[in-house]
Amino acid sequence: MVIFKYEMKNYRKYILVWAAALAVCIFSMTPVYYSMMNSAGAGGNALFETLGSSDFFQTVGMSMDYLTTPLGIYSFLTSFFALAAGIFGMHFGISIHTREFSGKTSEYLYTKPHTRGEIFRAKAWTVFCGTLIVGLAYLLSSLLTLLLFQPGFDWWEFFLISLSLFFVALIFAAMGLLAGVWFSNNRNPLLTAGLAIFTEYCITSFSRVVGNRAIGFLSPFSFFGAAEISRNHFYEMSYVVWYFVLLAVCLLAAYRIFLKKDIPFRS
Amino acid sequence: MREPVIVLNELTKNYGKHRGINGLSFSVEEGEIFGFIGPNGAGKSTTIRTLMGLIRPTGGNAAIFGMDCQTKASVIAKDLGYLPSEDSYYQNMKVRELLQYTADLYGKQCDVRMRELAERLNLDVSRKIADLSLGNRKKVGIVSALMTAPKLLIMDEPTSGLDPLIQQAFYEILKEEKERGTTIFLSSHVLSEVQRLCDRVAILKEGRLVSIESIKALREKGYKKVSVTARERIPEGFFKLPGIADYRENAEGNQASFMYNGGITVILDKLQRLNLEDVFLEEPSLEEIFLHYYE
Repeated sequence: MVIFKYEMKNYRKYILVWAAALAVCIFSMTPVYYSMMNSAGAGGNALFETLGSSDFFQTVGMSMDYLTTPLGIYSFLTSFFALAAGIFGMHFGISIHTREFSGKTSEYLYTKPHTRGEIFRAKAWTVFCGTLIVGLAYLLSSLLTLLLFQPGFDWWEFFLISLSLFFVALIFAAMGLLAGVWFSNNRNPLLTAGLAIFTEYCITSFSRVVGNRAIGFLSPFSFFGAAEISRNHFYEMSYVVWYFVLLAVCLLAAYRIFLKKDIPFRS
Repeated sequence: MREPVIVLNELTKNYGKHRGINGLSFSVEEGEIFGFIGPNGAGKSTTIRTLMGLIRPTGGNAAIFGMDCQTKASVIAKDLGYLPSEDSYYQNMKVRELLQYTADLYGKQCDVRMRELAERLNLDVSRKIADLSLGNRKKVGIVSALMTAPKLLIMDEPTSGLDPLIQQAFYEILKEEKERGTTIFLSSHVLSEVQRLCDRVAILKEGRLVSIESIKALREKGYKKVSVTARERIPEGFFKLPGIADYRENAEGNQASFMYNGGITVILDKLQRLNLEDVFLEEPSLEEIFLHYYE
């Protein structure tokens, strides 16, 4: 609990900045995009004609029909903000471990009367709580902006779409914890997170364009497609099961490695 | 009979091509100050980090308070104060916050001891760690290691970066800790420090234990440092005697210095055959004694 408390204090600003940034972005961009769609629709569907026939919307898991529904633009925006949330989660997961090595503080923390298991759990809880705060801020801000500018939406569908951002951030955070424990000497966690997220996003886009679901299992961005949410009123069950398996594997592997590994030093 | 506080049994750590430590075996008794010396890269920090459970040995084992250093590291740590060789503190914290974090991690109230130590070491606890000099960061480490009143102190190069006045204060604190019954294990390459503080010393060379000596025994080995200045060139091989080591001569060949461990009359007899200008017979420093171990 002591370590968790101090870690939360340590990362408070970082979590709040990310939460505020995502909240402000979704709050301000949602009405702008809805307004753009309305204008495009009023002017003879020029935007639809241009983009509707391309594969662009398919790559982000959308269809033109769904885009015109009350939550269409919101889910379209969320699919992009999930990229940012993924970077946040993975960066947080990696850096909460690598920072101890880059800052040479591992010799301080790991020699105190707390087991490595306690330290890992405290750090994992910090990442979970940070991700939850960012996810909640996004959800509340989304709710507010939709109530103000696009009322009359399906609440259940909204929660599923909004929560998908939290789920994506969480799985990448777990992957980040594993990467951080495995490569503790990583000097550039932000670059690592950015590259990993971009690669994963490309995998999802590719799987959607070629229509191969199996490839989609390789990327968490595939797990919470808005089209599936709209169709089934829930996430796709096979992806949900796979999501939790992946989450458990990442956390357990990170935990096992952390218990056994030598603490590297940088002098 | 009381059990030793630290026991190393054939402790080995390999880093592939890089040298680690090889088959270290020794023990540290309760209440003693034990020095651990060797040049850079000899394996001092590797040994200490293995004792602290930070790295896993590839062979052998180590125990502190009778408990295995790897499996019981967190239990051992309750009665252990550790000072790493490099400053390893959260830069964004203030000194007071970090010391409070230490107290919280140990679950102890250490305010009084913290204030006392900070005052004695002239440490400003209101400053941010990032703004401190190397010496002041070392003071933070010393206070952090000592404030929980541990039964065992493990210190890796404790005085590096400290100015001479603070070093004196630090030595005083260590002596008080020893009187209190604390066992102290410290690594250093400052031999005068070891000479001044320690009861026994382990000498490490290239990851192997060369010798364990008491400071008293080291001094009693009978080594003398001899420095000779003659009015004429010293004949070649003149000092080729048993017990002479580390022989050095100047370019002109009229000055020589060496370590001598043998009968005093033999060397005096030799010296009187030279046309001497000056001669010094001194007790060597530990540095000079230890040079033999590294030859």
